[in-house]
Amino acid sequence: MANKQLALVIAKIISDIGLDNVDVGSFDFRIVVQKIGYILQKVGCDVGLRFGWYSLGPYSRTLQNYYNTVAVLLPRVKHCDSIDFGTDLNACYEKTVAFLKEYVKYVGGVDLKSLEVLASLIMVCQDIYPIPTDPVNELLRRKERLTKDFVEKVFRFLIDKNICPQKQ
Amino acid sequence: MDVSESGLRNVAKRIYDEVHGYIELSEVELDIVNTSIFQRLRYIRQLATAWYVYPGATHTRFSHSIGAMHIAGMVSSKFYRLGYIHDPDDVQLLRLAALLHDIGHTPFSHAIEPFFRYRLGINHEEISRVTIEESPEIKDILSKHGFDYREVIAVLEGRYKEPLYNQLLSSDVDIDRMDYLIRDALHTGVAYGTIDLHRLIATMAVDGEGNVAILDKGVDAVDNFYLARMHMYKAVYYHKTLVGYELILRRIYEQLSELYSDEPLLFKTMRDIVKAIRSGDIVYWNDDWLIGFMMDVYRSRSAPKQLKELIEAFFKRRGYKVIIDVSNFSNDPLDVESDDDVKQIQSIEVSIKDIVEPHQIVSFVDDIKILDEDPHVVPRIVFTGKRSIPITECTTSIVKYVPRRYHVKRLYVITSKWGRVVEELRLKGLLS
Repeated sequence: MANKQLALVIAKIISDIGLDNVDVGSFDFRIVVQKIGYILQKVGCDVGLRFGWYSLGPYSRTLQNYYNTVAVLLPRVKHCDSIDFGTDLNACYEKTVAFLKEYVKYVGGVDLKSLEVLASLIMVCQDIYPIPTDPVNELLRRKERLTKDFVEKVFRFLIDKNICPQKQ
Repeated sequence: MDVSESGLRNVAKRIYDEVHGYIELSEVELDIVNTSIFQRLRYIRQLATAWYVYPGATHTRFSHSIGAMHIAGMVSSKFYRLGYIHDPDDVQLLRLAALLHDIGHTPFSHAIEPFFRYRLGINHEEISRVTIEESPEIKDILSKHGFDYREVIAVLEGRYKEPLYNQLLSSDVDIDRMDYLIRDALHTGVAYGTIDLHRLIATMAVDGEGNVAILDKGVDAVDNFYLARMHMYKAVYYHKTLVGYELILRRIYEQLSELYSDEPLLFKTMRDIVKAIRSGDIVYWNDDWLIGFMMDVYRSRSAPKQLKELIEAFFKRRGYKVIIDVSNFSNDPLDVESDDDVKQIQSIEVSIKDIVEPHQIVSFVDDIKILDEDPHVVPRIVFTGKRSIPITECTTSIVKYVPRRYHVKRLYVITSKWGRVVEELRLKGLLS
C-alpha cells in the first residue's frame, strides 16, 4: 500500500513539469510514475525504492502500489503552489523539480519518450551491471527507435550534472 | 556451441525431482548445492505453515531452488538456440541466478519475512545479496568456475545489463512462479493450481522491443497460468487457516526477538546477519532451529505466560481462528482508510477488547495483486512478426476478465477464546 507523502511528491512533480495531461488509466501514466519515482530517488534523495532494468527502463514493483494514489492526488496538487511534504521530502522534491525543469528547458519540452530516455540513461550510467563502457550505445542497442543525436544530447546533460561519466 | 535442453554443456550429476524428473547439474551448480549455506534450504519449508492445512505441503526451498534452476535452463537454452542469447555462459549465469534466488530466505519464509521487512527494514532479496557477497564458499566457487558473483547479484536484483534476463527472473510470468505454482499445487493437492509449463516454454519468444513474449498459440497456457495463480492465492497462499498460523508464528517471533536478545540467531540488524554468514552460523538459521528454540522457551520457567500460550497454541494447532472474513476479488486497489469492511473489522476488534487480551486477537488486511498490469512486466503476446501487445489487450485471452486483486480482510481470535467471542458478537448483533 502506498506511502501517501511519497505519492504526493510524485504527483506534484508530474504536475510541475506538465505531464499531468497523460491519461491516468493508461500504460503511459504508469511509465511516467515509474520514471519520476526513479529520478526522484537518484537526484532528490533515497526514498527506499528498488529499481530493476527493463526494456522500458527503470521499474520498481513497489511503485505499482502508487499508481492509483498518484492518479487521485494529481488534480488536487495541480493548483497548490506549495505543499509541505515534511522536512526530508521538501528538499528532495525541490532538488528533483529543479533538475527536471532544467532538463525540460535543455531538451525543449518534455514528453514520455524524453523522460524515459533520461531515466534510462541515468540507470545505464549508475545502476546496471556490468557497467557499460559506452552508455549511449548501450541504450541505443536496447531502444532502436531512439535517435543517436537525442540520446547524446541527454548524455551531455547528465555529464554536466556529474551523473554520467565522460566517455572513455 | 551445443547446449542440452537443460542448458548444460557438461553434466556433473542428476537429481531426481518430484516435479521435473531428472534435473541435470553442472560442476559449478553441484559445488554450490554442496555448500552448507545452500543445504540450509533443505530445512526451510517452501510454504511455511501450510502443512497445518495441507499435510503434504512440507516441500522445501531446496527443491524449489533446484526446480527454478532447471526451468531457467530450459528457457535460456531455448533462447540461446533461437539467437536471443548469444553466449552459452549466459545460460549458466541464468541457471546460477535461479539456483541462488532464495538463498536469503528467513526461517518459515513468508511467515517471518514481514517482521524483517517492516520491523528491521530487511527483505529476503537483500539477505540473498549479502549471502552471496559475504559467503566465502559461494564467492570462491563462482570465481573458481569463472563467474563474477556481482553478475549473479545483478541478475537477482534485476540490474543486469540485459533486460531480458531480468524479465526472465522477475516479471509476471517468470521462472520462479513457473516452478512454485506447479510444486505447490502438487504438494497441496490443489489440482486447479497447476500450469502447462511445457506449452508456456514452447511458445515463449522475444518481441521486437526485447521483451519476453508468448506466441499467440500459447495464449491458453497464459490464461491457465493466471487462473491457476488466482486459485492458489485463494486456496493456498491466503487460505484463512494457513494465514492464521503464519500470524501466530510471526507474533511469537516478534516476542522472542524482544525478550531473548542474547540468542545469536535472532538477528536485529543486517550486521548481525553478515556476521553469521561470515562465521558460518547462518546455516542453522532455519525452520527447525526456530521450532527448537520455541520448545526451549516453552519449557523454561521464566518465559512470559502470554508467549507460552501462543507457543502452546501453535504446537497444539489451537492458534488464531478466523472470526470475520470479508475477503473479496476486486479490480481496484484497496483503500484501507475508507473501506467499510476494514472499518467494521476495526470496530469489532475494539468492541471485544474486554474479553480478549491483545495477544489473542489479530486483524489481517492485505491487497494482493493477481495480475501485474504494468507495461514493464505484463506478458506480451506476439501475433505477427515481432509486434506484440499486452495480454490484457488480447481479445482471444480471458486474462482481461480475471479480477486484478484479491482483498483479504479478516479478524482472527485465538481458538481458546473463539466460542466466547462468537457468542459476544452475536449478542451485540455484530455476527449473524
